[in-house]
Amino acid sequence: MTPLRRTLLLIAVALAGLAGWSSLVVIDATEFGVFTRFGRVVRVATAPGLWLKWPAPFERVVRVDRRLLTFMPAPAEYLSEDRKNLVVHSLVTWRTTDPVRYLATVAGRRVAQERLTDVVLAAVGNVIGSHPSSAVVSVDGRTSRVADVMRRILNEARPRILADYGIDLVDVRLRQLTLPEQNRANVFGRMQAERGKMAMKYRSEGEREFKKLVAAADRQKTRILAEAYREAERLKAEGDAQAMQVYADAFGRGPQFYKFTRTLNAYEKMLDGNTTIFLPADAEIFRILDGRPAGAGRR
Amino acid sequence: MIARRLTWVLTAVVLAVAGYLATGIFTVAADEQAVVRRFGRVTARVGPGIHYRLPWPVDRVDVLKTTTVMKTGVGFQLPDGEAASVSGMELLTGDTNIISIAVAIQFVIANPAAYLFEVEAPAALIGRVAESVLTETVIGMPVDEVLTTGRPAIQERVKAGTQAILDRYMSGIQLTSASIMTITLDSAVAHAFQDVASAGADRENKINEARTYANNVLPKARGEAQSMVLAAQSYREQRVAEAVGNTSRFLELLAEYRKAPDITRSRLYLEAMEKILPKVKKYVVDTEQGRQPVNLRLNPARP
Repeated sequence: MTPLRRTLLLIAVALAGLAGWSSLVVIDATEFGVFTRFGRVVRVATAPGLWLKWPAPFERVVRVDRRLLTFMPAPAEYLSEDRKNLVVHSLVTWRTTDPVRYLATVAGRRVAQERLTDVVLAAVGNVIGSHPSSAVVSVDGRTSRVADVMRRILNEARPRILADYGIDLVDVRLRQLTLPEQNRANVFGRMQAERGKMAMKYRSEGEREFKKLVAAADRQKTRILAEAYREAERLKAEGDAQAMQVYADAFGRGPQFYKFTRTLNAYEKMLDGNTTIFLPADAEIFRILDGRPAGAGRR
Repeated sequence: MIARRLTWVLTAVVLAVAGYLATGIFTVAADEQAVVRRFGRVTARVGPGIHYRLPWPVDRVDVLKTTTVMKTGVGFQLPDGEAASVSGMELLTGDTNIISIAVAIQFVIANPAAYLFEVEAPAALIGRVAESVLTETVIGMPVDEVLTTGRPAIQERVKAGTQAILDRYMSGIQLTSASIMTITLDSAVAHAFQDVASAGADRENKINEARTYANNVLPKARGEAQSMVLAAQSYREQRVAEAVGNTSRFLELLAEYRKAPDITRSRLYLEAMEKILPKVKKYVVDTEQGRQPVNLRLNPARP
């Protein structure tokens, strides 16, 4: 073997090795492989694994990410149906489902995101503009109308994006909703006024509640005392009546005798040292003197 | 000579092949799981221990910590090992108030293959999705609810909502908790909110004051009422007792009188006169003879 032939053999082996190496393609779980022969798509590797192709100059493989991808379009200001300015910060998640169409129309991630931004922001504008702001900003949160609004945005943009770019628009989410800078001062002013009102309401409520409770307590106190007074008077009257009954029962057994003894008692009280009385000589107390000798011993 | 060279070459080749094959040995720690890909296709998911895979370029292995709880958040950056600067994420409430909330989220990797191959940068996605759920939640709540009673509900909804979306994205992530770290207000309105809180406290104080008053006044009134009733009761008893006492003497006299009416009558009359007449000035008049007073000298003290 001459040195020349040896060299040629080595080159041939090297070329064969390179060709063999170049005809083996590993497609990862995270990607699609699109095989092109002089620029024309001939095959799409949709499953991961080891794939065969013609060596380099004849067939090439372009890899397309098949994972769920995320990006955040720049915040955009919209006017709602009732003329309120809202700044929408959105979150877009998407995934390539048709790598051939994807490569043909957008060719790369940067362009894809630009296209998606255009379509999504237009849809957001359409939907926000056809709803009053209360459809989004509302205290009635149990029904979560934001989700409905976002679903409408998604449904509006999704079929077009799939047909045009081979991209499945998985989700458009309202990441953050803010107000334009020039409206913030107004909002803070209103918040302050609302709080002031609320503080005043609490304080006057406290005052009112205080008066109500105190008045109730006073009223109850008066009622308790009045009831006690009534009961006391009733008891006293009962006592008087029972006493009267006792007197009437007792004195009723001898009315004449009662009159007599009571009259005597009355005399005892009526007649004192300032009293002068004229006694008829035939008063009962003297009657004994008539028939008896004087000095019978009674003064 | 040739044989010796051949031996050398063979030894070198065997060593090289052995060395190459040895690069396929890998270990998985107790808190880790590994995913093996052969030519890009997921073929095995292995747990802790020592394992073998075919060397590059056939097999590739990714090792992930699956039991370690990882942290991310909304409204603040989490530099590793550094105290996070919590600024909060600005949110609009349902009654158009502006507040800032920071939420800390903890998660684990539940499905390593999904985590590795289904979603680009899944850990970063958690915070973004949680932001959107937080926005959706808070935008439907009045600010007072957010600041007071709504906290657990917000945490619950952020966790459940974020989890549902991450599941839909097949991210392989399992959230373990979402907790609100701070809720802050712009300095322009913070004072006003504080004043409302202190007004609420004032109201409670006022009400307590009134309750104390009532608790003081009512027992006193009840005591007074009771003593009034007791006094009246004793008055009643006293009156009856008096009556019984007063009449019992009369009844005794009456019994005596019934036995001997004339004697008793005279006795009582005379006893009464005995008591009365000594105290009074008296003139005895003979009714038949005229009006000449007759001094009986019954009262020697007066001439």
